[in-house]
Amino acid sequence: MNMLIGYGGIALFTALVLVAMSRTGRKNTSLSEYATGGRNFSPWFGTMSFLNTWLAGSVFVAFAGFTVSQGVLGFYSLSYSVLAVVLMFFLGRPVNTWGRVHDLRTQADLLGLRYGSKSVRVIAALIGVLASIPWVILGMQSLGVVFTALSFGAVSPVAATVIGILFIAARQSWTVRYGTRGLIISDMVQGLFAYGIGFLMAVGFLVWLLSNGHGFGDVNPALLSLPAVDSPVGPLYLFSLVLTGLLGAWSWPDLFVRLFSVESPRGVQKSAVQAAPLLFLFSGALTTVSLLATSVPGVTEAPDTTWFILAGLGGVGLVTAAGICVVAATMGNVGANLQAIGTQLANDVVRPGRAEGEGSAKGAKIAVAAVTAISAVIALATANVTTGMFILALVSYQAICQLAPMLLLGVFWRKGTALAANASMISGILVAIYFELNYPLSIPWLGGLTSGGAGLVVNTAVYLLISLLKPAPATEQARVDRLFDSLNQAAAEQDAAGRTMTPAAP
Amino acid sequence: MSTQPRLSAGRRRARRILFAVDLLLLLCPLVYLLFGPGTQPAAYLYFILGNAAVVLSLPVLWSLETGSEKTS
Repeated sequence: MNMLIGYGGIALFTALVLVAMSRTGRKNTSLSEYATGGRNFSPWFGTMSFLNTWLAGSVFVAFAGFTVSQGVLGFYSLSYSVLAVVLMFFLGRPVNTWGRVHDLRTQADLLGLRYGSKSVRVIAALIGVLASIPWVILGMQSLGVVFTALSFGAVSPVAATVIGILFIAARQSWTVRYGTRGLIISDMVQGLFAYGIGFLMAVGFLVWLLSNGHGFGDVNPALLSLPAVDSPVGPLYLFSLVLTGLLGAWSWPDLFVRLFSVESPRGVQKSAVQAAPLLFLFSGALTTVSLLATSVPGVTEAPDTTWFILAGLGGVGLVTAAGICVVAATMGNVGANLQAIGTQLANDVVRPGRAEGEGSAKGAKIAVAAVTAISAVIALATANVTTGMFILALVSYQAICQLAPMLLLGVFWRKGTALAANASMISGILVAIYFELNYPLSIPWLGGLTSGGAGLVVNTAVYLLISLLKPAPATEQARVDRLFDSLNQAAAEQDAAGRTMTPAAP
Repeated sequence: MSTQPRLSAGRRRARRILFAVDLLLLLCPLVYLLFGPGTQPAAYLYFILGNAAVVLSLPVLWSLETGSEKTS
């Protein structure tokens, strides 16, 4: 009976999302509309779309587990998330404007426009796919935890992970059918559950913990301290975690494309202003709950199931609600991730010279199937793991952040060249892989930098040096100059158009 | 920044300073190491207050541009 309630709750929620998608969706008349949702979503949709893509279901599972294991250090994810929102504010104008003016649909489109180079697109796509696979595995593992918990012991972790994988596969068919418009509309429904209900539950857990002898005084003091100068991980460990998280954030192709979907550059900025407090309240409450829960019996033995251990105190209804929160958060993230992987592999790696859409749909589906299969094998092999899932998230960030220097400097600095972009990405990812294999936690002789942090140092230095020592040919520089000048022109036109309108209050 | 032609030099400078302060608060080792060992829960308060300050900087960034639009 309990399992029926648990799985039934997920089925009802899924049906609700499907109804919302089908009622508000409309036929995509072009590939551009399919990929960007028509570029006419309001800032509130932009806010929820960002949150649902950004805060995956793993925040309830692996990230909570990391806080249980590492203590207050777990708040690093809040820091880089909030800084990523600030960066979103600054990226809004150039990225959204270029997207609108040049009909850009993906991150790779922007890179192709900025650098005028196919090789930049190919290398960026390969790194993006490489970094995304651990994240897909994490999503599958998260759903495995959900379906295990909601079965109340009737389904083994391996079988639950299989159910999770099938669930993701089914979700993909809706994504393909409704495109980005469907994704963004479902993001709103899923986000309201995941972060609205999730936040209320976290506050409830917080009240229960504080009133039942699980306050800060009951937490192991070691978990309340940050690594000191002489700590084994090194004083730069936290810096490196936050930096790779911040720079990795807008390197995710599925997140980046959200900047194109909002109705205007100002709309992206408003989305950022709205997202910041929601992110702060939700993540702050969830991480605080995870920290205080360390004194609850059974939590430290299975840190990744903390959310469900606490929900179990409230009975089958609360466990079901907890499961719906995780599923709601996972659906948006994994769906968008797989869609981005498929598009990149098909358009930028397999057929980099062909026009988008030209035979790419089949290639994208094959690519998604291959990535899903690889991820599924690894997720199944680790289905019984209830601790340390977080390492997958860490590894993926060390890789994806290697796109950031050429991406961000490319958007804000007109001197960067394609040669510099290629060299910086390759050098960065090679350095990151070397250090990840030899120093998986942090590099003591570099003060505690992580592998990705070390890669970023080399990566950025290579980009700047090559751009300055070997500038672009005059014709190419003139093209890039025109690109940047078009931003000023677009801003002036927006001013002229909006001069009679009163700017909306934040 | 070349993408913000409508902002006055003062507002552009204010935006850059705010961004730098945000980074300093949440990234700078010299800041967070102050909250490492010692009185509990200092590190917890560092994260909560530091992140709250950065969250509050966003409406300020917004108002810097809104004010600019009103006067343009």
